[in-house]
Amino acid sequence: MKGLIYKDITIFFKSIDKKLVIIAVGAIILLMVNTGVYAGLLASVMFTMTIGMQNIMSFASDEKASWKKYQLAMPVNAVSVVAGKYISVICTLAVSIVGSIILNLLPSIAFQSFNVTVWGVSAAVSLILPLLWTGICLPLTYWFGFRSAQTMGLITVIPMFYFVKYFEDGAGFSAMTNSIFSYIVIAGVAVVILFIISMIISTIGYSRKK
Amino acid sequence: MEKNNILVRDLCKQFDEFLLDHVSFQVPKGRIVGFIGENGAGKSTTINLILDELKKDNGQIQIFGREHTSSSVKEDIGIVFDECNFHDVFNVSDIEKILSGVYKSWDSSLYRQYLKKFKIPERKQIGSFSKGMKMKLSIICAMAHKPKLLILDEATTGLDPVVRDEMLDLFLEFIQDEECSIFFSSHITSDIQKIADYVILIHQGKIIFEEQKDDLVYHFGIVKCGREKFASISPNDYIIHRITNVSVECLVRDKEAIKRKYKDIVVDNATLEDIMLFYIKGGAA
Repeated sequence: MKGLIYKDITIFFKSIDKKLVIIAVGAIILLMVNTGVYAGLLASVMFTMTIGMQNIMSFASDEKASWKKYQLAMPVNAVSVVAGKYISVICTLAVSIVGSIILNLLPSIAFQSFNVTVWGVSAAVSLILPLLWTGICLPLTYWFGFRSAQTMGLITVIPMFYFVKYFEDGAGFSAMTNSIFSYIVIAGVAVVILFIISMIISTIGYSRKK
Repeated sequence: MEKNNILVRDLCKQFDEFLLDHVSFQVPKGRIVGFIGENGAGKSTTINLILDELKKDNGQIQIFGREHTSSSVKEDIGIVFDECNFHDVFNVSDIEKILSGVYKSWDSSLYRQYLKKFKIPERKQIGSFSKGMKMKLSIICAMAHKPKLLILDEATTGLDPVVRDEMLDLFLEFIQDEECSIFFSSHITSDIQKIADYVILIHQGKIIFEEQKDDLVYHFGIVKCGREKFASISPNDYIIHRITNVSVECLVRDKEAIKRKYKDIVVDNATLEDIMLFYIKGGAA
């Protein structure tokens, strides 16, 4: 399993799409200009979405190289293969967290404002979003192939889009109550459960034989 | 003690438009077995069933005397498919780290030795390799964990003659250990003719023959004669005949016996390709 985790993490970093980076950087800069003190939070959302997308891209490269066919001939069982994939996603959370810290640090310095709640929500989002995205897309990849996973994964973009619009056009962060943390805890627990269920479904999907 | 590294008995697999029909053969220890047949004959299906990548409908497959579904047998199998299955972004060091984390018996020094021998660049990404280099790397990876069984599925297809020759020499080197064997599927019969000890021909999902290569190459022959002379040849003396516009050609099992019996006819040597074509095309010219 160690080798497979290394493989997935290496693909994650080595196959970073320059176009995706340019789009993400552009969107993050735009958000920072438009949203002031909440820029760190929204930029974190954008960044973690990019991490999720990059994970999906690396799953796609497995299909491109017909890696599964090769992997099936290796002395690794289905549980190890799928667990390795999920562990590699968890490893990429470190990138997500570091990115979130940097992206919050920049507006905090620029606007001379340090809001613990914003930082906390950003950190939570940077953990929850990639897990949510992967939890949805990986079983789809193992059951129906990368293309359907990519399409379905885009559905998770829609709530994010409304989330960003809420900050840009609506009452924004000031309308959030102190109970935000309890919602985050609930969301966190739900995502962990989803992640585990997703892993079981993926294992069954991977083990299927024609 | 187990004599075979692969034993297949009455293997069946039904698809919508294809049936692998009671396939039986064996791959003895210390031998190279060539598995020939045209595209779509069932070679890759058989290999996928052996590797447990497809679910068999019926039959028995044993590897090293154990059930083929056991994941422990895969530790001792090296596999090369017809394409390189490594992602383009990797370099050879990445591959080493991945496979050393998968195979307990991975030998990094042997891997490095092969890389050097076959001049595989260490820093370049695999995406920039030529087809020949990619296949060399795939073969090196299959051998660097010191397997007892190499399964090659059209591994030399698409390689230039020089690279193919290098690879065939490597296979012959591998087989020096009497515990090791190679199961080599290809439709390039010249490769099989060069290195195989046994040859299995599969056609439309059925095994047509399983013979020692030397028996095929040294004993089989092709009689070429006119229609009148053909009429004098007993049907028991040839396996298949085909009628062309100018002559009749017959595949015979024992060319020396035919030469002795029919003094005035020409008997040519038969290559593996000739034999395969006779069996597959039958009487069709």
